[in-house]
Amino acid sequence: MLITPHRFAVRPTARLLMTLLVSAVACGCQTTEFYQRGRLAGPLMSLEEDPTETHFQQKCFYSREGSIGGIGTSAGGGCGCY
Amino acid sequence: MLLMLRGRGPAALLLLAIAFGTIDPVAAQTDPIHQPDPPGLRSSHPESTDGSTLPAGAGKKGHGTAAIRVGYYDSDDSGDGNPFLDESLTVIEPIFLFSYNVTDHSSVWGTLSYDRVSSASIDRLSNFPTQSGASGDDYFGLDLGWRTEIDDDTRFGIFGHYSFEYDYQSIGLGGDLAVDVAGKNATIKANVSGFFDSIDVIRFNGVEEGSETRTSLASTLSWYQIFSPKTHGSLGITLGHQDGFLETPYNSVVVEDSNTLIPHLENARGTEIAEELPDTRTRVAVFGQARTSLTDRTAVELGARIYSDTWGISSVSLEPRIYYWLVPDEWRLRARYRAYMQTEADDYDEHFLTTTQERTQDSDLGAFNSHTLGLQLLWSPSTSTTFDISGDYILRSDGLDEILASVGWSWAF
Repeated sequence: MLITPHRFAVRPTARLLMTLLVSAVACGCQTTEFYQRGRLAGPLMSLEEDPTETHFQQKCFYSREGSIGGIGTSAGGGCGCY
Repeated sequence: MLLMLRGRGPAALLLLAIAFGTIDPVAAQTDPIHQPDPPGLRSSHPESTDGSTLPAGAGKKGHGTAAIRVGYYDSDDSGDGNPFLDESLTVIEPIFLFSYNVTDHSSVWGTLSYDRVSSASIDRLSNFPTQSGASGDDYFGLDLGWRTEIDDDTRFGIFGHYSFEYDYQSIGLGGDLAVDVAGKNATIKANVSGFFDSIDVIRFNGVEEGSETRTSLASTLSWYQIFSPKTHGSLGITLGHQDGFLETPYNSVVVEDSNTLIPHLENARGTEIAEELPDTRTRVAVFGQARTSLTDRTAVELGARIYSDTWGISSVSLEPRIYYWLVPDEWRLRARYRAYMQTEADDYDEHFLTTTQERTQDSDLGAFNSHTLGLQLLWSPSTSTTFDISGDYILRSDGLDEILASVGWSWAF
């Protein structure tokens, strides 16, 4: 079932997400030593996706949604309108 | 999923966030042989990156990466969305990427891309055969960049961009600075970009209105953090401002009037006039992601983004992912779900009965939500080569469902 989108649905959810994001960073700030980071360096944990995939997805999402930012460097511009 | 967010979802999300931040640090994996540096901040994860698509930076002199991807995008119009227009769209995009380490501490990189776009909106211009490129649109893009390590904790990069279509060209410049802090447990990164576009305005009826400009400036500040030996993530904010011609030139609005039939449009009675939108737009997006390793073969991630702009659009998106080694270090599966909700722009309306100063019937500026399901299969036959194939289906509440698919190859030399 789809929800009819409207401001009253978006804004409380946005506030909740903001709180969670800040909380996640704040409660996670503990030192992990150099020799403990092996698992994070593995390919399964890399936060970097293939740049070519990002390029493609950025163009698709930015072209068909009213919001941009958070994917790649451009927040508008550099890409024609479909 | 969205229903859960409005009901029991908050409690579940909070537990997840707490879990991400407090996974037992004592259970650390001690692997001094593995490369210990934290993964960089050049993440490209939708909704949750530091805002850069720059390829990997410095490494051993003479080494680098080459990658090719072919993407396919299709959006069908099932009759929803704009009631007067067929909004179907197909894009095929090959992309080539190359990076090369000119020294042990600096690299150059470039991307070359081409889009073949065919859409019903563009096809309408075929009614006016004097227009060049009217039956389709070809986009060519080139990006070139340079990155260097200033010292062990600091990296700097710049890039330039040029792209053009038959009625449009864009020049872009940008740079970023990343600084590792807290014993490389965290990285702060800032980047700025500016795009300066020129658009030949060709309206829906073939009328040419000369050339217009558009300036897009954006700045992103992000924080990467290692939470524990098994969990890391990032948080960022992007501020963007656009100035100039921000409409889609060939978009139109139907001001309804039952007495007048509009040729070329189905079921439309009234007067068709050009889309008009404000000349400035300021945007802000806050985004974050956290990924944790559950086992040697499994990792999960939660990404989110909150967005708002001065056109009245607000949106939230939430994207959980799971990564799983089907065969360790060889075959990897990525599954993702993305929930997206968007409010409509102030100037958007599905039906216009009077002419307003600013107006749009572009469904992408209307209110909708979407659910994306995607799979990617990645194969690494060697440590230097990967192949991947991915597909996503986007179910939109306004009926404009989308399909994304791509095939990629990369080679580290």
